[in-house]
Amino acid sequence: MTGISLIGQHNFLRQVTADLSSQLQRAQGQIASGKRAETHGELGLQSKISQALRADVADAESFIQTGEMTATRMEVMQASMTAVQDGLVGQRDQVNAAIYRNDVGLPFLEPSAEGRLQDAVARLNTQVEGRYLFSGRTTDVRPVAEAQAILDGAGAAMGLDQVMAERADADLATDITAAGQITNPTADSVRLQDDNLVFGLSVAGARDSGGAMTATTTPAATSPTGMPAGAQEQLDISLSGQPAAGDSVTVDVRLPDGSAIELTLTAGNTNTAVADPELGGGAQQLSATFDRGVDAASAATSLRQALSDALAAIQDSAAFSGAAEAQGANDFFRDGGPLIVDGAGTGLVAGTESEVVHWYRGDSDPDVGGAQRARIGAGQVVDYGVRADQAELRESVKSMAMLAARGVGDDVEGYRAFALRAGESAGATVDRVTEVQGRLGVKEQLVADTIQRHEGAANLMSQRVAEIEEADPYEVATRIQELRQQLESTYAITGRLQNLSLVNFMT
Amino acid sequence: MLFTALNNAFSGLSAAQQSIDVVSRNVANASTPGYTRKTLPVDNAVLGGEGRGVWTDAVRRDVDQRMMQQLRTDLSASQQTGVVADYLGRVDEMFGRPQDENSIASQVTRFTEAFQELTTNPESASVREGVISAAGETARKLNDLSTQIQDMRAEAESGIAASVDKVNHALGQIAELNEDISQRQAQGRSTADLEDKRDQHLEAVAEEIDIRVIDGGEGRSLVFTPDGSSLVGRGGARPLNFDQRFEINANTEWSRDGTQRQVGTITLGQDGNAVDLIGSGSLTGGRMAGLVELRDELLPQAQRQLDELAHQMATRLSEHTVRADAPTTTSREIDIAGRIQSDGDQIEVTFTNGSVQNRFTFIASSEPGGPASNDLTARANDTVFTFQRGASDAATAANLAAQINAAVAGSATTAGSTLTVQDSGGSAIQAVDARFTLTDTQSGNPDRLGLPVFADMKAGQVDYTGSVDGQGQKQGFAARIALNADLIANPERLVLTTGTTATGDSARPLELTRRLAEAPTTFSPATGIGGSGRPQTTTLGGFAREIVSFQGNQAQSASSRAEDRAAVARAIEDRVANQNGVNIDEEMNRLMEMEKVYAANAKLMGLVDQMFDTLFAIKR
Repeated sequence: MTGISLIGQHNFLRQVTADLSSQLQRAQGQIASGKRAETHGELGLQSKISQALRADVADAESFIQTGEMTATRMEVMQASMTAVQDGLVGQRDQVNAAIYRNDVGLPFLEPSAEGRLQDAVARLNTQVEGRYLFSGRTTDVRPVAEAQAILDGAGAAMGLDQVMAERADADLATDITAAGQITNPTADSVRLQDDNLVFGLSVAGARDSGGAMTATTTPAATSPTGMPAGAQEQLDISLSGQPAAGDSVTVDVRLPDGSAIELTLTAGNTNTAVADPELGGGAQQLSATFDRGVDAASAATSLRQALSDALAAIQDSAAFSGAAEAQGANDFFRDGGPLIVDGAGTGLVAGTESEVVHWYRGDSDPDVGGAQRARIGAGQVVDYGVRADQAELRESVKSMAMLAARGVGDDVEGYRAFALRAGESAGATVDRVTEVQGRLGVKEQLVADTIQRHEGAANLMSQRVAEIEEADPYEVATRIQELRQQLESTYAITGRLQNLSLVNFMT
Repeated sequence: MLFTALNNAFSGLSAAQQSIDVVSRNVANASTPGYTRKTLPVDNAVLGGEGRGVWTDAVRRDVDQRMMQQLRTDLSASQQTGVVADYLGRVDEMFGRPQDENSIASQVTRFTEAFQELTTNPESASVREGVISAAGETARKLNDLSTQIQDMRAEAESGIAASVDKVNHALGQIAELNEDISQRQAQGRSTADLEDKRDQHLEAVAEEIDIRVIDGGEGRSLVFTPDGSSLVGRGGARPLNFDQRFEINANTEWSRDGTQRQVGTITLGQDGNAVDLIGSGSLTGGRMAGLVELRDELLPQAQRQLDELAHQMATRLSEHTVRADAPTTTSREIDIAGRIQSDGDQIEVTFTNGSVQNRFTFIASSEPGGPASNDLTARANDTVFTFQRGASDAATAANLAAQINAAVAGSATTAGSTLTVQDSGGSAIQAVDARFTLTDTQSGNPDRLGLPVFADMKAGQVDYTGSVDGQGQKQGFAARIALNADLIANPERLVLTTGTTATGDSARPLELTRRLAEAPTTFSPATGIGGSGRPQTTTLGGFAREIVSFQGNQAQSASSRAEDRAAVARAIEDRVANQNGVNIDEEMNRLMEMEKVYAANAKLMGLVDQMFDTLFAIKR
């Protein structure tokens, strides 16, 4: 048996009390901080889990923040678009009322439209936290020019008013029936040669009913700036003999703004005039007859005359001048920058910023949706870009600006045709804006759902972190109690042992 | 006969006195550490074949040497594990309390979040500043951690020096005591107290290094290292030498080669036949072994982990990868101009041979190319070569082609700076990728979204391209990583890849966030995290968390190992103390016994005196 030496006994008791005290201190620290561990190491293998969970919670919170910011922006964008759309509906209804029910309404179109335009411009220039929402990637650039500048120009730069006027002038000055353009190149044929493909009327195609007449067209060899798509340079009608009564050729004529007119010339016994085209911009049919004469040559002569007369009548119509002005607005609001009439008045050129107000100054990258992107989850990126210059909103601004730029003048008919176009454009755009809103709405829902998902996950994960890291106060308290008792007992035993020495019993 | 009785009684009296003297010394030293209980050996004194009272020998101590050796071995192990646990505990503490989220992993998360915020507000100057400051904070955190680790290495270095001093002092004392003991023993005098002293010095040595002690005869204790190098011989002590270095940083390492070595090493013996105890692996226990392990293995490993994180973070953000075109199904073509610009830029080539995929990585270098260590890339199962960057792109391409041909003969050709790799022999070309570092904050190309957010503060700012020349740019990068000064001057370049990029373009922030938060990255197994066959592939944040957990677990297991060893050492210490220490009761018992003996002897002497008196009275 090994005895117990004094120093051994002292060492042992010292060690035991030191151990107990340090355990007690640790437990008291846990009660104070509420946490199990003071370092990552003390969490042991769970350290990795708790760290990963904490990182996930941080990620989720970051995603929630992004999502909420994105949601706010989308909400403001929706509100802006709703306001624009309301303006469009108002414009459509006002134009319809003014024209179909009561011409008295015409003079009020301009001031109302100006108010709507101003509102729409303000909406499209909306900022959230200093960021323009409809400017694409150039979020620091005010996307849409002031309504006043759009209408009246700024300094030397022309506004819509002047661009429309110049365009209308150029269209009205271009006569497709001018000398040398509609001819009988041979005795039994008719030819229409369009010398100015950009302005005035244009021919998009032609067909015949068979029989003696054959209509062909030749596409434009060159395509000058601003030429309507599919414009034909030459229309040829050849006659193989006298056409039978009822044989016809149909020519697809385009007004300057692209409104389609199907002009049908039918072989008959006399030349009749065409009716004036309707004022609106929809496709419409016009017809006339021509004297089929006695042979191919005489039929060709009267056909040439009938064609010339019919085209001249269309050119002189109110619909034509309305369409010309409307096309001026199309030029001004063209995707890719405004077009203006060149110095000679015979063609269109891209207008520089010093020549003409550019109504949209933002980003013009073809990827419109991708201009605004939000990373709302790991690997989850939502595109929610809507730009002021995308077709739907461009049309909206255009239709409002058109009406705001023009008051009813002397040419009431022409104005009516013009206003009708603005109204039609507004009416057609309402639903397209709704579509954009719908698409954005889907993204809004997605973002809202994602936020909810992240919130749920963050809550769960935070709880789990707490489970791993937090000390169970009841358990710790119990442990402290135990340690205290142990320590007290040790002290008591130490005291007893001190007394338990032979020395005390020696006399 | 009476005289004999008187002498006997007197010798008993004297022995009792000496015993009481020993008892009193024992009691007085009962709580002196290292003091062992002394005994006075007494024997029947025999003179001419007849008992002549009691004979006392020199005071002795009764110590079990086997147990003392066990104690020393356990002390060595306890000190070794203790110092390791202490240092590693400090590494664990560097990452802070879990709930405070101030570990490097939390910092990487905050950096990622700052970028995430930039994706929604690319045009915001304050958000850009937020990213800049988070990036700077991340770099500083890595610098701080590196500094702390290197400070600890420096501390270990001076700890080794102190330890060597302590050992040398103790060895000197042991040698001296050996001589004293041997002399006193020859004179038949007590050596017990000197032996106690010597044991204390041996313990002191054992705390620092693991030793073996053998009895060298004539009272001498000879001290050896576990592999048999003598520390204290018959001729005296052989001191340890340590050439302490005072500049310790991430790039100073121990090496077997003296010319390469930049930290101190421990040698034994003189110049010509000096033995390097670190190189020979003789340090198997004690504080010294723990400190050496910390300085050369454990702390450098922590540094390597930080370096890897810094390296991957800088590289991930700044790199750009271009895949070679495939003009035909059997060839790949890539123009390396503008793609191999810096040391460290890489060309990855994959061939298949039957169903076996052979992956090669060619790393641009300033030095002549050739086969290189496969540890240079974290990519698993690739064969690594370096190639020298030439004076022109065409020369570089030619050097690259030469190395590709060294890997797969006849597969590569060049025309100017254009490299063509094609099928050769059984090897069919699968892909050629150029992976290179963008060094300009404005890449000038909207498709090149990478951004050198970080730079290397070597001596002034240099680009971090992951060069593998020399020690490699990665080593110690965590200590030098800094925010690119170009970005501090032009924070808008966090968004703008070209001079004409729209200010609200989120393409770059989105890509960089993806790289930080989502892109899986393969981390070098040299960090001790992940194996070489299947290296750890995770996100940057994930790896940072791995580091924190790794260090935490390592500290925790070191601590529990140290506790175990300490408990073992304590147990044996208790046993030694109990066996060799003083038990007061026992001593009191002895005291009483001696009192009785003394009294009896005194009484006896009194009786003899009376007997003499009686005798003398008869004569009268």
